[in-house]
Amino acid sequence: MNLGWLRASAWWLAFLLLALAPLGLALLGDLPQARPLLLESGVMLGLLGLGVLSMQAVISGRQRWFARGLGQDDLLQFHRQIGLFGLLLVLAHPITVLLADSRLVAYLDPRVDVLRALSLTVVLLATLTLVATSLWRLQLGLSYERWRLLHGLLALAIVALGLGHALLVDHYTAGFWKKAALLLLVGGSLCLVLDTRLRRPWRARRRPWRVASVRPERDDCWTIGLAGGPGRQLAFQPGQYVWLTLGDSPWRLQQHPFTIASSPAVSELEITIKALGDFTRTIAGIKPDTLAWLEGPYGVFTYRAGMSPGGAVFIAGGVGITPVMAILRSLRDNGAREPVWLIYGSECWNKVVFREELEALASSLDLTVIHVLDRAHEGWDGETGHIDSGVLERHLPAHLADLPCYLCGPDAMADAIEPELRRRGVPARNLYSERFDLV
Amino acid sequence: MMHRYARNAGTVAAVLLLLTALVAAWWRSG
Repeated sequence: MNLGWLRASAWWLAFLLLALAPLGLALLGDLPQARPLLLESGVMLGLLGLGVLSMQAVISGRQRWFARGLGQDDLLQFHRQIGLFGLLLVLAHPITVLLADSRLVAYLDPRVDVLRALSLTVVLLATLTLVATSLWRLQLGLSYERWRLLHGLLALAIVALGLGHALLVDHYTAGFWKKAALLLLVGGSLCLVLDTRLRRPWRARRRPWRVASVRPERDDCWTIGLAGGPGRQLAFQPGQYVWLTLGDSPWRLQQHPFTIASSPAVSELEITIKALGDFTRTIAGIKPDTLAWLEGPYGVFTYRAGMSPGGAVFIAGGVGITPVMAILRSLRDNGAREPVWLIYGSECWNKVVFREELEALASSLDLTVIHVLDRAHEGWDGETGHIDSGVLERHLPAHLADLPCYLCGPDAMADAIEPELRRRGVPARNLYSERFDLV
Repeated sequence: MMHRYARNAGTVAAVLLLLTALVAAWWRSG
C-alpha cells in the first residue's frame, strides 16, 4: 500500500499552518486599533510573506521529520512555486501599504532612517535576485556552486531582515511574548539553514568515504565506486539517492544529489554519473582514494522484491536508468520472482548505458527490456523514436493499471509519459516519477 | 508523486494562504 499521498496531504497541511504562524501569532492577544482594509491587507501580506519565506528553508532543507516520504523533485517543485509566491508577497507588501498610506514611504527614505531604508531596500533587491538567479541560473552564467552559496546567503539575509523589520515596526508585534514567539519561530527556520549547511557536514566529517574506483560506461557516463571503511555500509532502499561532496572537506560548496546505482546487498556504493555539467565533466579525472562525503539516503522512488506480486513497470530515459539499475540489481540479489517490464529510451544502440548488464539481468529475472532508440542503426528491428503511447500499448501488460509504474528521465519525457500512463488507468498513487536537472 | 501535482499543490497553497491573509485583513479592518 502506498502511503505517499496520505503523507503528502498531511505535509501540505502542516506547511499551510506553519506558513500562517507569524500572521496567526500577530493576531493573538491585545490587538491595536483597526485601520483601513487596504492598509491591513498590506500588513497581512507582509506577515504572510515572512511565514512563507521562512518555510522555504524547511521545504528545501532535507529535514527528515518534514521531508520523509516525499520525493526530492516534488519538494523542489513546490519550493519553486512557493518561492515565486514569496516574491509576490514581498513586492505586494510595500506597494499595498504605500497605496493605503503614502506617508509610510518614510520607511524607504534614507533621510529618515538610513539603516531602515537600506535594509528594506536590500530585502526587496535580494528577493528579486534570489528568484532571478534560480529561474535563469544557466542564462546568467552562474555555476551551480556559486548559485548555491548565493541562494543560501540571500535567503538568510531576507528572512533575518524581514524578521527584524516585523519586530521593529512594533504594531502587531508589540509586547515581549509576541516578539519572543516570533523570534523563536522565524529564528528556528534560520537555524535550519545553518543545520543543513554547517552542522550536517560537521557530522559527515566523522564518516569519510573514499573513491575506490572510477570506470567509464557507455554514453559519457562514469561509475564511481565508494568505500566506507571497515564494517561501514550505508543503509538505503534501492532507488534512493545521496548528496555527494568530493574532496578534502565536507564543507566544500560542490554538493550534488546522485542516485545510488548499486544494490544495497553490496558493501561498495556505486554512483553512475553522466558528464553533462561543470562538475560532472570532472568525474573522469577523479583519482582513487579521493575523500567523499555522503548525506542521505533520501527519496521515495524505491521498489523492493515482492512489493508488488503482479510485477512492476519501469520507464527510463538515458542516465535515468541509474535508480532502475539499483532496483533491478537488488531484485536479482533477493531472488525476486515477479515480472518486471523496463522501457528504456536511449539516443542510439552504442549509448545504451548498462546494455550488457541488462541482458544478463534479463536471464536471471523475469525481466522484459524494451529498448527505444532515438537513432536506429541499420538492421535494428526494435522500437525507434521517443517513448510514446504506441510503445506503451505494444509492450506493457493488460493489467498495467494494477502495477506500480516508475518513471525516471528528462522533463520532456516525464511530461509526455505521465499523462499517458494516467490515461491507461494507472492511479496517481502508483506512479513514481523522478526527473533530473531541476535547477 | 507526480511533478504536476507538486506544482499544483504549491499553487493551491499560495491561493489559500493569500485568501486567509485577506480575510484576516478584512476581519481586522472591520
